[in-house]
This record gives sequence, structure tokens and C-alpha cells, in this order.
Amino acid sequence: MTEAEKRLEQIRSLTETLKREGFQDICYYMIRTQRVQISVFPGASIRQEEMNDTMYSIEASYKGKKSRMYTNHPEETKRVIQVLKESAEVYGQAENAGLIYDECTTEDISFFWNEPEEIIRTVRKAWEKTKDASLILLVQKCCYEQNFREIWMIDEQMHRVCDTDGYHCFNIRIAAGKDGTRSSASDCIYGKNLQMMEIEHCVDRVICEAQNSLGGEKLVSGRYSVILGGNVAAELLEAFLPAFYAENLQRDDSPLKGKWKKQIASSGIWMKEIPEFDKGRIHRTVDDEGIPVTEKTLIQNGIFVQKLYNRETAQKDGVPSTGNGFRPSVQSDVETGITNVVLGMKEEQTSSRSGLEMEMKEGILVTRVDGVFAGADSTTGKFSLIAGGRVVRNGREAETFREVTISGDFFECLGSIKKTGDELYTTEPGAMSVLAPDLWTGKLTVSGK
Amino acid sequence: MISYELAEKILNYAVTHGGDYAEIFEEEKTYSKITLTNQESPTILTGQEEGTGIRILRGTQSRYIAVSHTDEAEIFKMMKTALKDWADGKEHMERSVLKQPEIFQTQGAKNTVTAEKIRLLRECVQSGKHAASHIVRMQTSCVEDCQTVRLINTEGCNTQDERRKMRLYIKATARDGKESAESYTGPGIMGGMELFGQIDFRKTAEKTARSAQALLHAKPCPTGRMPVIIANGFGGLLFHEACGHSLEASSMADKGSEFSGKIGTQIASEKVTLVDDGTVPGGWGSLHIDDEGIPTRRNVLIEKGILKGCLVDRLDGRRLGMPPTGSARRENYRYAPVARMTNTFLLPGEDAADEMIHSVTRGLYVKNIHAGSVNPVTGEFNFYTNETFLIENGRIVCPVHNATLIGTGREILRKVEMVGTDPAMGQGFCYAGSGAVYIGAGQPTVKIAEMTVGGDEV
Repeated sequence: MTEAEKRLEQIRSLTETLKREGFQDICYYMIRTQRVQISVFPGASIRQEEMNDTMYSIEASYKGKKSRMYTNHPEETKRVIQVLKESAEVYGQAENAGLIYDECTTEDISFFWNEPEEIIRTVRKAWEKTKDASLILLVQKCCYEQNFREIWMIDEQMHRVCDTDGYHCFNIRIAAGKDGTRSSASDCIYGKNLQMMEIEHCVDRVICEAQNSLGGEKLVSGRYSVILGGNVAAELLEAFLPAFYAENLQRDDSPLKGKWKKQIASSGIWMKEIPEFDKGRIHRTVDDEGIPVTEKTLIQNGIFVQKLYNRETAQKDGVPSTGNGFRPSVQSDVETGITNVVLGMKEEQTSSRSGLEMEMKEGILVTRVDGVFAGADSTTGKFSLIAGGRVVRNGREAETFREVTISGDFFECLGSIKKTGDELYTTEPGAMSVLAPDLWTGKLTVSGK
Repeated sequence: MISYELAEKILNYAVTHGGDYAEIFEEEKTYSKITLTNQESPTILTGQEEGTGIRILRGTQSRYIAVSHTDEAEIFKMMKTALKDWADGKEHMERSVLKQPEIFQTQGAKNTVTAEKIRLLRECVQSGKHAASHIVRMQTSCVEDCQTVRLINTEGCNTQDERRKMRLYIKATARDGKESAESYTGPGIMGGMELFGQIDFRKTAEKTARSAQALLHAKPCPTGRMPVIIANGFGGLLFHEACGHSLEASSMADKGSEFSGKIGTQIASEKVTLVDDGTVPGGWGSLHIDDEGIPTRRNVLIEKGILKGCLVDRLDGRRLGMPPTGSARRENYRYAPVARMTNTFLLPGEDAADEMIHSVTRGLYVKNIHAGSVNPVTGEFNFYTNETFLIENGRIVCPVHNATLIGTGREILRKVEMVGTDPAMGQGFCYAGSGAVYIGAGQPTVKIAEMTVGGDEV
């Protein structure tokens, strides 16, 4: 019996037991995660972590009431029955009774695992190159991760929807120092295997950023023309994506309320969800409700054209789900989520970073922000964040600045984009997979000295 | 659970295949969170998890394996792969593991009834709604979390710790036309339902609702450099961010922190004495033993401005050449442990909170802190305020929009000008390298002479 067959048998047996106990409309959601992470730390010491973890979410109705739980030991049936019954004491009337999946089993698991030795060699080389670079004090983290997930959704009749998802990620964080001042920079890239990862380019980029961020002081408070570095733009866009979720639009918790089919960004700006994007992190074919995930355009030529729906929110608006019903974790209920979101602009309105600086002439390039999780409010579009970067003077990068806050409205920034960069930057693991270029936008408020 | 025999076999394999230390972390966890929004039907998030983390050290190298099963063949297959580069090992484990585990348990009420929790939550919702007329949403949750961990290691340790936590969340949303504002409270303890006897939960709900309503027509927050007074309680997050993270071993090692190499030197105003204490009875961030099996303790980090120590785990302790301080923590078995804070607080001083306000010509009074973060290398931290008020000519004059307060640890610690006599603790979570762990943060009211405020008024 294969491992998958064993798991199916276990679920079949649990289903029979639950039915005997009076449960109906039983369905399961399972994620099996395999992860290998190799990091080089100062002193060239290697930390290797491997995880093999399976989690289940079980949902059913009991005496007409919803019941739901998560577990990683479904074989402990007595405990499962007890917890499910307790949860039914809390919930009201069961909804979505009798969820039936269209059988869709993808047994073709094509994730490519690179050997640890090969990864250690590559990561060590990247670590050596970085630590030997001029002004670099410390390589705090130089890490390669392979992460593969198998996702199953099973209904009471044992119809099974299977999907797989995996990525390779290189992630580096370094510190530079000169004349008693310090700077830090981090970068990360994704791919489908070690060979397709442009690790050297990523290393060069992070070294350059750390070196260029040294020194500097606070700016004078005021309003400044801004280029948001691609990593900053990606981080901000990730924080404000919930504004596109139907549940927030329906609840009046989105600054995009009433703006569907209206201009919300500069002409030429597009934003797409691309499930198969090579440089993205999430490669799903169905969402966590078994609905196919397709490429879709959210912003077209600056106009907000697509809201993101799961089954429940789609039903409220009387439209089909867009395949965006995802669980933030196995423990959670289905909410709204995305695979890979990419922001861009018409090709004739893109330029290299130095080209953008040349055209902006005077202003600031923001290359670092922190505290986005707290300082960005997706219900209003406002943000206020600690930031650092470089002053742009006469069309060139001049002195560094640090320890200021930038504040403004993200959607006003989108509406003021004049041009974008020609290179994509991405968010780190743990965040949603968002890719964005440098954005030359309007003015933001800077609080400094 | 892994049997005693299997545990010995795993540890023995680790040291005979190149490890100089190995440990097994076993975890069983049950969790329930009942949420009630207004008077709608409640919802529950509930479940159980079990798993094992095996860590093997060799000098400053480490290997970590996390599994949700106890399949012996699979565990040894993973160990073989993980240790294949470490050929030379000892002949056998030098110390045998204690047969009977040393057991620690959380005191307090057990076996809480779901219906009772829902009744209390309904009372919170009602109290909040009655307290302020513009409240459109009262969301309350009751969280019960019971984590039992067992640590077995090659130094003979066999220890078990039952950690039970209970927390009440109250979030009030007020709306008036287009304006809306939120306020939030989250008292929690290590213990059970006695939490509801320790706090006046109805008054807490009323206070949260009134706070949200008071913020409805807040004015724009000024921008620039100014004095800031931070109220007692979870305001202590300032010190958690401004210097706590920078004093964790993972940062302190290899000059990764702005405070690396500064133990024994003056890094803060003489008014600052900062402690991290995992033994606080009933403390939200308390544990009996840390996640390496070492009893938690009171660690004095800064005393009268002088840096006295840092928080150390076994592995980064080897990088630093320092012994562990009972500070190793992880969210669950999926993470290897690192040194993290537990209950971190500033000891009280002698200044009155009123005097602090009277001493400010123009500045901010921050009643609540939402969250924050820090870059230990540069020391740059930020935190986001929740209930914020403008002070003018020695008086609190009006609420203002939430603000971002920033600075560096070394700068802010020296600018602590007044420390109050009214210590209090707050409860929250800290998200870092080994996942989300529950932490306490506390302080008396504190005046910072000058900080950069990122407001929305230029």
C-alpha cells in the first residue's frame, strides 16, 4: 500500500465511524508539507532543517449543526468525535451541507528536489562571496529552502480533489559597516529548482544595496517626490491586497468600495494574478474549495476590473467564485487569498532604476521600510512606516537617509505612478507572493528632523 | 508519544553519528478559540496537534528534524540523511536519560464549559454596546490553549511542562458617518477560567468601547521630533522592540546587534532597569521550563542603565561562549528553539505620571501600543500606536490619529527621562525566527525626552 493509499484508507475508516456516531456531510482538507531548509551562519556553520508534517481539517454536521476541527492525528477517533461534538455545541445551523467535489486527482507530483550537498555548495559559495565583499560586516542569514505541499480535499463519498504546490527559495540578509555606522539589506528569489535560480544576481543586488545604504541621517520633514523601490512596492502591495477581496468590499472595509470599473491607478498600470508565474512562489491549480485557479486581471490600464471571490462571497454577489478561496492555514476557515500577483506597466512606460531617477531629477528613492504588518491599514489605504533609502539629486542617487517615516495613501500612490522600473522584486516567504517593480509615484509625507 | 526506549535509541544514534548533543522535543497541544461578534452565532476554532522535533548539535552546526508522526523507520531515515556528513561519533551516549520525567503543571481551574464561555462573551458584547452609542461591532473571543511539552536530551534531562493559557480578546469598532475607529484589549494569563475573576470583564468591555468612540473624531497627528509619554502596561513593548530583540543571542553573536560587545557598559539612562522573567506567577509569557528543558528564571538585562546580560539558548550560546539562560522558545515542534523574551518589563521609578504630562509643552501621550518591530543590526525600531493624544502646555487636549514612533535602541534608552511608579503588564505575541510565542511586556508610565513621530500632519 502506498502512503497515499494508507491515508485514504484511514480517512475512509474515520468517515464510517463518524457516520455511525450520527455525523453527516463530512468533508476533509489535508495538507502534507515537506520542507528542507539549509542555512549558512557566521563561521560557515550549517543549519539544516527537515520537516514532514501532515494536518487535517475535518468539517461535518451533527444534529443539524456545523462542527469543525483540525488535527494531525485523525486516527485518534475518540478524540476526534469528542472535539467535533463540542464544536457543534458552539456553531449554529450547518451551512454548505453536503459539499460534493468533482473528482480531480493529480497524481503527477512533479516537484524537483535538489540534493542537500549541491545546495550546501551553492549557499556556501554565495555566503563566501558576500562576506568577502567590501564593507560587509556580517552575513546574518544565507538560506535555501525547498518546500513542497500536497493538498487534498475529500467529500463524504470519497471524491478527491488533489493539488500540489512547491517552491525553491534563496533568502539572504546581510549587514554592512563603515565609520561606526551600520546598514542592513535583504533579498529573496524563487524558482522551481536550484539551476533556474539567479543566485549570483541576487547576491550582487543585496551587497550593492547594503553598501549604498551606509551612513546617512534623517531628512528634513516635508513632502518629497518618491520612487518606491521594487521590494518596498511589493511589500506595500501585499499589505493592501485585501482591499480587492469581495468580503471586505461587501463589509465596507475596503478603500476600493464603490470603485469597481473605475480608475484606481495611473493609465498603463496592470495587475494580474498569474498562478503559473515562474518567479512566483505559489503554483496552485485549484483553490482550497476545489475551484480551478486561473490567470486573471485585477487592474487593467488603471481600472479596477476584478474583485476576488471565494464561494461564500460570490454567492452573496450572485456571481461565480474566482477561485480565490484559500485558507491562511489548515486551522483556519476558508477566506480569500491569491497565488502570485504581479504589478506592471505598459512597456513604453518602464525604465531602469537609473532612468527613473534621471527623469525624477529631485526626490527620494525608498529602498527599505519596516513594520508594514502594523503601519499599513488595508481598510483605509493609509500607511505610516519607518523608511530608509537615498536622496535623488540632479537625477542621480546622492546621500543616504535613514530613520524617517513615510506616510500616505497607497491607492493615491497607485494613481500617481508616472513610470515603473524594469525589474521585478518579490516578497519574502511567509507573506503572500507579490511581485512588483520600482514605482515612480507622487509625493509622500516624510517625518524626520 | 515517543516511548522511553525509542527516545534513548534516537539520542544514542545522534551521538554515535557525530552529534555532541541531542534533544527530543515532544509536544501535544489542544486549542480552542470561541468568537462572538455582536449577537450573531458564535464560531469556534478548535483542534489538537502532536509532533516531535529532534535537534542534534555538533559545535555550532545543527540539524533539526520535525515530524507529526512517531514512525520509527521514517524518523531514522531522516536522521540518517541529516547526519550523513558527520561520520565520526562517540561510542555511546555518556549519560542515560532519567526514566521518570520531572513534571511541571500550570495551576488554576480546568475543565471549562463551552456554554459558560459563550455566556461571558455575550455579557462583554452587551456591556460594550451599552457603554457607547456609536459602536457598530463588538467582537470578543475566548482563547484556551494547553501545550504539554516533554524534553529529553543527552545530558540526562527528562522534563515535562504543561502550559495552560487563557485569554479574552475584545475589539470595539465605532462608526459615525464615514469616520470609523477601533480599540482593542486582550488580557491573558497562564492559567484557566480564573482570568474572568481576576479582571472585571464587563468594565473592560465598556472601557474598550468608550475608547473606540472617543477616537472617532481624532485630529491629524503632528509629525516630527517631540517628547512622548507612554502609559503603563503594554507600552513596555517599546523596550521589547527597542532593545529586547537586540539582546537575544541570535543577534548578539557575531556582532549582529548594536549592543554586541557592550555588556558591562552604560547603554541607557540610569532610570532604566529592564528584566526578562519567565517565572512570573500566572504571567502570560511564563513557562516552567524553556523549550530546551532548562528552568526559566529572572534575567536582569539592564540595571540602572548598565547592560548586564542577554538572553541565551544552547546553540547561539556556543557562538557567544555563554551558558543558556532558560530563554529558548519555539511556537511548536516545527521550529528549532532560539532565545526569545518571556515577560519583559521595566522596573518602576519615582516619577508621577501627572508630573510627566505637566512637563510637556507639546508632545504625545500614548495610551496603547498596537505592534512594532526592530532591525537589531542597526537598532532601528518602529511601533504603531493605538490610542494617542496630543499634549499641549502640560494638558492632554484631544485624541489624534494613530502614529508611528521610530528611533534606535541606543538613542531611546538614553532619552528615558522619567519613569513612573505605576507598573503594569500587557499581553501579546512576538513573531520571530522560531514562530509566534506568547509574551508579556510591561512598564510604568515613561517619558521619552524626544522621539520621531510619523503622523499625518505636516
